[in-house]
Amino acid sequence: MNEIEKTIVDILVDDLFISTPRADIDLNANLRNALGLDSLGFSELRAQCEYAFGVKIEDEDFNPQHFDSVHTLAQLLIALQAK
Amino acid sequence: MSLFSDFCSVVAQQPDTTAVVEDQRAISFRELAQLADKVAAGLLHAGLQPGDRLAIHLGNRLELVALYYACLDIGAVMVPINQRLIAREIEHLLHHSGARYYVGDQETYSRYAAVIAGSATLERAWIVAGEEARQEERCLPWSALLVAAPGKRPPAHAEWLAAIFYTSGTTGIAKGVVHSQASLLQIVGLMEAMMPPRTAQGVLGTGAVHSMLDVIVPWSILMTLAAHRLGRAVVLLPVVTAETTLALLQRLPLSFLKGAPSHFKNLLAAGEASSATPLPSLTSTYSVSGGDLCPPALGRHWRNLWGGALRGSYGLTESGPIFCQPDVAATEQSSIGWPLPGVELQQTETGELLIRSPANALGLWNGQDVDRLPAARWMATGDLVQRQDDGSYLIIGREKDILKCDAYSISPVEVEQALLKLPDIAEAVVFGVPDPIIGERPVALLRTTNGKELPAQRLKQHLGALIAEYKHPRQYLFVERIPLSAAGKVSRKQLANEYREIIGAALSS
Repeated sequence: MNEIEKTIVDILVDDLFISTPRADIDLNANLRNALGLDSLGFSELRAQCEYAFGVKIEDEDFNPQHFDSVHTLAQLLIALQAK
Repeated sequence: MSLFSDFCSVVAQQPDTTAVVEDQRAISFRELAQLADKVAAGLLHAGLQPGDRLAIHLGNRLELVALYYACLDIGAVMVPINQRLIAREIEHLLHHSGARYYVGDQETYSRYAAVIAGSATLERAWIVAGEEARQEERCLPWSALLVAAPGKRPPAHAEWLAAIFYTSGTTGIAKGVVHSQASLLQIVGLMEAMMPPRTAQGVLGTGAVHSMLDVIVPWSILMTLAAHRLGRAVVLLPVVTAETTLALLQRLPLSFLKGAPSHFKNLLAAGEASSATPLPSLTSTYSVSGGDLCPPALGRHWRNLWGGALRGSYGLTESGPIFCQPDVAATEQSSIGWPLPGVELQQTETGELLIRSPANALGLWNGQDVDRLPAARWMATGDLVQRQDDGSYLIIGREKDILKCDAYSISPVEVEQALLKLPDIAEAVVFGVPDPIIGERPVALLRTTNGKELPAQRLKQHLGALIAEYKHPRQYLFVERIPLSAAGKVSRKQLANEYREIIGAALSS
């Protein structure tokens, strides 16, 4: 797990209170189906990631591909930070 | 977590900020909560139990918003009745929903008192601004609802039913889409994603929100609840026109403006015609078009005049808003943009879009109870789409026959059935023709029993008793024979394509 992925997991566990224990979070698991994120949770995750990583997630990027799993979201954040 | 507990949190956090601006009147979150509380107590006092249906038949007024929260508080199921519906349609909704209670205003009540009086299920009706109205046992003025002592609330439950939204079905009969408190919360969550986002530091843009659609329309209800979750005020205009909206923009900064493409088109025209200089800037307002496809050219004109993007949203009553297009001017062809996170998509072989929303409605109302549908079901949108390399989707056609006229869905079957009740009409086919202003214009192709034309006035009078005026065909074409497709069937799509030739062949137009 890289630093970015770890931070995302922290947000999911500490700020969004998902029910999956930290140790059981599969980085490739679907955020909605496996981790139970709901429509409000996605907006919150977006806001928390923007704050934690100092980036702006545009509407075009706020989509199911990038918000599929911890891994895909980390890839997006890496790309945004490199901009 | 529930919509009502979230509302209470906002009330506790910012009791004195404005929650609703009704024309010149403004009330705070605290005042709105107090009003909702009185309404809830009054409904409980009248014997309302969780799950009982409350028909709401109000114009754009404060009481409407208070009713939403009162219903959520005590588990009443709101059944919004659009003011454009006529007696027969209202009667059907009251009967089908089995509403025990009704809240209307003086205007609706004075027109439809007979419908209210004739309902077999309604036990009580309250009339807003109808103080001089009758003081009968069954029908009381609004003030009578507000005097009950606070009662004990039933313990809240996420699986309580929250709303039945009636929408045009393909069969011509309005279907009741049922949301639970939990699914309504999810659908409001999707609506929030259409608004200027919340940041970890707070909410961006505290300007008020406004819908150019009637506030009783499901999309406006969702917008109201989402805006309040974000602590923003909602503006209600008693009469919504391009002119009143323009005047609103001149006096109040908005963070979110919702409407159908036709509303934005009219507002654009009003802005261009306005002598007020400078026009208010909308660069920090999310102007979101929904209910129908928004042409890219409208987005370009919008940006030229107002300096901000015209955005698009796409969704179904059953699913909530599920696609966001941040700039409708960005593509040549109409694009619905990108799906929101949590939304799953599939395409059929014909290219029709199937969706699975995190806010799928609970099911459909069958007249007595909910026919529950699987939560993880796929829903057919009826729209043919094409995925682009950047992950966005273009709309390339419509699979189903529902017409979109001024963002109102019209079932051609319903209009045909109404026309056929006139004995002089032997055959009727209703189809949509693209219209630059309202989206699609319903056109009726008619064959009469005696081969003669019927005067438009007669048709209007006939339909006036059966269906709302917005569903009336804008044009009648009388023909000797209804053209059939190669397969020997009536194809509304083909008729629409051959519209010009049909006009030529019609007895007259």
